[in-house]
Amino acid sequence: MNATTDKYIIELIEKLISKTDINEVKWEATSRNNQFLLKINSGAFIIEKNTYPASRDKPLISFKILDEIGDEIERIEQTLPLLYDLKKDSQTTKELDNLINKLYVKAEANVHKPINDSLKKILNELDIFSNSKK
Amino acid sequence: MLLSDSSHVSHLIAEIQGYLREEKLELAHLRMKDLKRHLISFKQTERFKKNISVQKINSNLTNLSTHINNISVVISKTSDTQIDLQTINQDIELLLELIIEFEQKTKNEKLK
Repeated sequence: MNATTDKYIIELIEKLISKTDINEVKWEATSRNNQFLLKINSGAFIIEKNTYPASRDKPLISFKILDEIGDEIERIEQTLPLLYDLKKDSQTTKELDNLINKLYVKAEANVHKPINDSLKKILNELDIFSNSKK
Repeated sequence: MLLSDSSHVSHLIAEIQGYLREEKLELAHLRMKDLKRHLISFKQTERFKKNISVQKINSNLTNLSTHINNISVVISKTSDTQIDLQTINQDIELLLELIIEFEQKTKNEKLK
């Protein structure tokens, strides 16, 4: 990737984080564990956690940009910290790593939000019910 | 796209679902790639464009592509990935519904 593409991707991920934060977008769980998908009209995004034999203690996050039929256009993979020094632009690499980590956490929360909201409602109702019995 | 093409796709979908039920991932993977190719060419036809929304077909194609990639990762054993075959089967079922919707609309068009 060149510097301009890096800049656009950083901007894109920051936008996705803020849209996910305010629930303006809806991520979906997929057939794979630890993988979330967000579709928009012009394409889609995947954020996923991978455990490779070389990184068993620390799963690595990947962010993929897909075209409108789901073919991969671009992929950002988290770098193992020990490889930072080997990267040409380690500052950008660290920034991208932090952002995709943050996006993964937000996307996971976004997917689980409807279930958690429903559970909260049920618990509230049960609390009201048991309080009224007292 | 002709109705005979859509019936071929319906058979292909039934074949994939059978392979998924039997956990024959390599065969399901191959047939799912065939299905994707068919759907991409259907998508270009005027009759399909007229009857099925582009957004709907693209959304289904994105799900299909994601499942194809996920099965590929499981087959190649490059990471400790687990996939839920039931979710894949459900999405394949939605594709079948889309093809049935297309067949119905095309038949109704002919009756007019």
